[in-house]
Amino acid sequence: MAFALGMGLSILAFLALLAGAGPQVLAGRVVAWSVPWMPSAGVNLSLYIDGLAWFFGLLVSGIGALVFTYASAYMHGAERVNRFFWYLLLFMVSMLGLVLSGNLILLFVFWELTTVSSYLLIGFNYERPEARAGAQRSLVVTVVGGLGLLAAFVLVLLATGSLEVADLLADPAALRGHPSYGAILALLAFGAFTKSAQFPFHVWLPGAMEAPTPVSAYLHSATMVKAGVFLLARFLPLLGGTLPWLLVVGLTGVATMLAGAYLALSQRNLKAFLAYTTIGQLGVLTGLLGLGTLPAVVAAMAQTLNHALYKGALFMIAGNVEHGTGTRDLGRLGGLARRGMPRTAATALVVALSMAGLPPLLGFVSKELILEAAFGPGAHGWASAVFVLGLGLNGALNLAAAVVLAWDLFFRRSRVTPPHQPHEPGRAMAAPPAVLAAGVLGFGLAPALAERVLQPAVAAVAARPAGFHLELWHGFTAELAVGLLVIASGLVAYRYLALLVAPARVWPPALQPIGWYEALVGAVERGTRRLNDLVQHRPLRHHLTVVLLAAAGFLWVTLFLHWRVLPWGQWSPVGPEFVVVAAVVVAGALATTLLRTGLGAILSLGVVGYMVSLMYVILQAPDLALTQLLIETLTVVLFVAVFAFLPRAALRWAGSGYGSRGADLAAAGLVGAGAAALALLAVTEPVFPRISDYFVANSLELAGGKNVVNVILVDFRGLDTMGEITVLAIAAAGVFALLRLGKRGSQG
Amino acid sequence: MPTLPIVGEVDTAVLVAQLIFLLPELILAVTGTVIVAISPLLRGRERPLVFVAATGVLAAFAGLGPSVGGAGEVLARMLVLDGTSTFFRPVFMLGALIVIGLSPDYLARRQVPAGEFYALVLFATVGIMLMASTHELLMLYLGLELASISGYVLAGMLRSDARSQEASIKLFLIGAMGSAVLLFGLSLVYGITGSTNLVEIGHALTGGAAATFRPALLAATMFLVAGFGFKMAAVPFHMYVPDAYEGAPTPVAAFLSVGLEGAAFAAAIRVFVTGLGIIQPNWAAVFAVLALATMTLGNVTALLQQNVKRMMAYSSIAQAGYILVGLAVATDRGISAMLYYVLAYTVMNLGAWAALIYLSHNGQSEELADFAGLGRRAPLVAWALTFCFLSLIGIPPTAGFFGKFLLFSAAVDAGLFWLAVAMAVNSVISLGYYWNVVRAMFMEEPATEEPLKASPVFGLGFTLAVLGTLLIGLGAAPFFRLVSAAVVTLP
Repeated sequence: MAFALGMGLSILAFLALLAGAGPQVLAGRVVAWSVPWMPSAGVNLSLYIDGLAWFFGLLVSGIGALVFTYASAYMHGAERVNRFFWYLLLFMVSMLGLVLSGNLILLFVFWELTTVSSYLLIGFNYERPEARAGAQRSLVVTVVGGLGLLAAFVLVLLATGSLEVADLLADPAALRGHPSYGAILALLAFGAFTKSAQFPFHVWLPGAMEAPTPVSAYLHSATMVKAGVFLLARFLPLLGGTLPWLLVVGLTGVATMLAGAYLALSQRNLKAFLAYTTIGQLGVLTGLLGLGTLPAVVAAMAQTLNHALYKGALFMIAGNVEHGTGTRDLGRLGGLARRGMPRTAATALVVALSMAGLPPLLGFVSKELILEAAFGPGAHGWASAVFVLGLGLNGALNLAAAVVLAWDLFFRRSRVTPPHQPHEPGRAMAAPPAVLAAGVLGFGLAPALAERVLQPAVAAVAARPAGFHLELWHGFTAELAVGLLVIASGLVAYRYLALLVAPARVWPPALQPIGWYEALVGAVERGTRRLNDLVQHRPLRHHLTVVLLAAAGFLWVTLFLHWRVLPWGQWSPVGPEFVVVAAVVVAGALATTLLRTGLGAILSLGVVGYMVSLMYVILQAPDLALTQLLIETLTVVLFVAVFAFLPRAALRWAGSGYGSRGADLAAAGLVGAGAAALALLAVTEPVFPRISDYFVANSLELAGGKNVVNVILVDFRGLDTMGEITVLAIAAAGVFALLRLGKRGSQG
Repeated sequence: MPTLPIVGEVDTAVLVAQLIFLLPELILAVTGTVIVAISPLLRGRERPLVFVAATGVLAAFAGLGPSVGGAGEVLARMLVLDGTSTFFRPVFMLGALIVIGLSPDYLARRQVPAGEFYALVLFATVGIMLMASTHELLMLYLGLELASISGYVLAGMLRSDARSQEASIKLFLIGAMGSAVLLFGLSLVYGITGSTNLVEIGHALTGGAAATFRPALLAATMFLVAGFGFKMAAVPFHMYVPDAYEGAPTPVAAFLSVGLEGAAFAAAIRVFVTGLGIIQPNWAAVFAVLALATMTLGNVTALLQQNVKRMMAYSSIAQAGYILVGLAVATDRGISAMLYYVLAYTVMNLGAWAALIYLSHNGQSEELADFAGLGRRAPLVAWALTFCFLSLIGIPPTAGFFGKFLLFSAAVDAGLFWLAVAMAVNSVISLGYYWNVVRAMFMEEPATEEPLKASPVFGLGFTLAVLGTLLIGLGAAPFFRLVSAAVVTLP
């Protein structure tokens, strides 16, 4: 069912975009539609189809239909195949949503959904540990990037007051002049780079090759990894054209195009080989958008189309090769054209030629455009040199890679034997790559057609009607000469391939691109363990200490910050009787902590309480003294009663080691001194009209009593007193019940 | 001569008439009492009591009617009707309703006396609702104690399980200490301002004497932060939480994690924003530090847990850290984001706990290994749990995503960019441990193929939580309007 739904939806979306939105978009208008979702936060369900969205939407739905067709045969007989198509469907819908979103938060929602569906698809063969590891890595890297993106969008909202793409594009200069421009650019680029596997965030993409091959063709070459490129293109009119943009986006692109193309050649696994060439091409696209000139944008869009077509086809061909031979180890494959896969070989030849940028294919057109952009008027002279060098080298290495794919794999005589006798795939697996190959051929022979599709996209990215013209043959230009040079260098690179990739083979592990990710994850795990040992599974005593220290710590920090304004030396004189009482209190408190028997400790604590009661007497507060006396007696009696039921061993404690005792002493000192400071502060606080004045004045008049305390207890607060008595009675009943229960327990 | 409020001066007739605003709490309390009264008559066949309890909560929802749209302080200024109470009272009742729905299978399996359980949940709900709807410090404290003490008893309801006893004792000892610290702070505030009404306190602090610096007030504020820190499970006052949640009956842990935490946040908004708003820079900075420590420690420690129940305890600590961001920001935007997050947290967290309850009442333990192959044994539960996890992580379009988005925007808007970054980093860390469970459910083989069961009542409770997580995310606009209207504004 999921298959039928996915197939139908992709075709429907393709036709709807082509026939429904097509005429509008081709005429240079924008199809927009919006319903409020959370309008007060600027979040709406908005659709915004301009040339860029339209172009990407066509790619996603068109290639989607081919991938669904291909997968129907590829996944035939596999386990959980229905679930596979549900995931694939989820991805396609998310990707369409991403490119057609007119609201940045909506875009982010779909962005995250593509991450989730990519994760599910990479981990589809979860029996394999490599698949699980690859899935996890892709999830971690892209989710981190997604959060950067969200942060960028929040900043955009705060800077401009809107999250609507239409609003933002209507005032393109607003962001460039804003103070948070730098932060927005950095965060947005970070999000785009992780998704589009830019160096050094590309570490997840090779691992993603654990996904079934249709997924690699669809998500990890033709569409999802282009989401970052899409985003950069979307924001080029808003953020581009500045030196920071050129540096951040452009140079990352150059680094990626070189790293990807070079590392590809050292791969022995066909899919990993393709994955690295994909990284290289994503670098080319990012680099061109970083350059940001009109020719660069034209080249970027043309190369996006070219790459989506040829790389999708190459992945499907890789799937067919594995299907036909039982391996994707390049060392065991060769000469397949003569060994039973001639039709696959023919398709591969066409797309590889387009990859290499040879006429009469779309790749040739786009390569000419790329070189034109590199030589064209850039922002800075040195930048031009960097781009010429980067793009040229990438072109050469890419050509060598294309030769490996077409020549080594299919046409060169070879003595290696694959596990199975090679055979052609069925029609459903042969047709989709052939259609894509027909695409690069058709667009190459009729560049006007490609021009028609790309025109609105370029206009949207360049933010002006773009007058450009695509042609297969440009005449004898400088670009053609450089192109020939690139081809020649590529062939040389191919000739000395073993020598070229030797350094990559002996790369020390720490320098391998995956190294930083593993190191980071390992460090997090170790740190976590250490922290965990520190905070978990400690006795209650430890918990209480931390809690008390934290409370006292807050107090001390506050006092420390305001120590100047503390009421130093404003206290009243202290009489000798107070000193005596205080000394006994201190002695009692010390005895409580030092005595090793429970009973002794309790009695010492009782002494402290009685002394406090004595203080109240000295301060002429007999009611408080009486209450304190009663409570203290009750507490001591209760404790002793409880002790009567505890086993004897529980009443003697060995005490803790001296180190721990020292720490305890320090903690107690800090907390105690904090409490004392607090008491001092409270005393010096100016007092509001005292409630006692009211009672003193009204006791005789309202209640007819001369003893104010009595009147308060039985009249003004009579209900409270009754409540207190009730509580005491209930507590006593509870204690009685417990005592009886305990007795029964000790008997039985 | 100062005039002090004496009960005799309040018109009794008015007071009685105003009881109508207390209808939800009264209904809940009466239902609880009725359950306690009739449960001994049922001689152990206490299962139907779930319907009595649920009906009580539904009736209490209806009882909110007269309060909606009301504004001002009623019942001798003990109850306040405003946007905040209008928002929190139904949220807490929703939480209670879901917990009640999730419980009966568990209670039967673990031989927990259902009558007492429902009654205590209802009483605790009354407590947390009162905490959120009063400007009166005494009432706030009473509500807190009603909820806390019910919580201590609830945690120890597995009477034959030593871990449950330990949970109860720990909760009680540390909870009592937290209450004491809080009470100390409250009494200092009363001593300084001469009022126990938060609005009056706010006036007292802004008027006349406010200009002079008051170290005692700052000290009191620190005690209040610490006291609320206990109830919010904020680091470093969180230490009892993992043991308490792991040992307590699972539905109780679920209830404590949303109910008591949520109420602590509601009450903190009132105390700090309404009462102590004038010294906002002093407490907001402390909350910012607490937020950072809480989310980071909660997430990092959760990473290594093998027991999912314990993991969820740390997860709820981490979530409290996110919510604290709202208090650290303390702008209208921050507070409304915080309210929204509490609502989202209530449903998504209960949804996640529901899966644990489900395993538990099927006789499984809550170790990570017990989740292996759950995707095959109970696909619906596994997917629902995955969905709730996505929400807890903050993946769109769930309720949790919008909660984080709002908090995040508020933090950036208030210039607390470092706190926003910390939230983002923490979300990634949290991915690690939630993902562990998801991987076990879908990518590992189950030990047995024995199917798992649940009653329809459980299904209803679960559906309510998961549907809530979905709807509050997809249909965010009305909820956002609600929380925007509920914001307590700084003076």
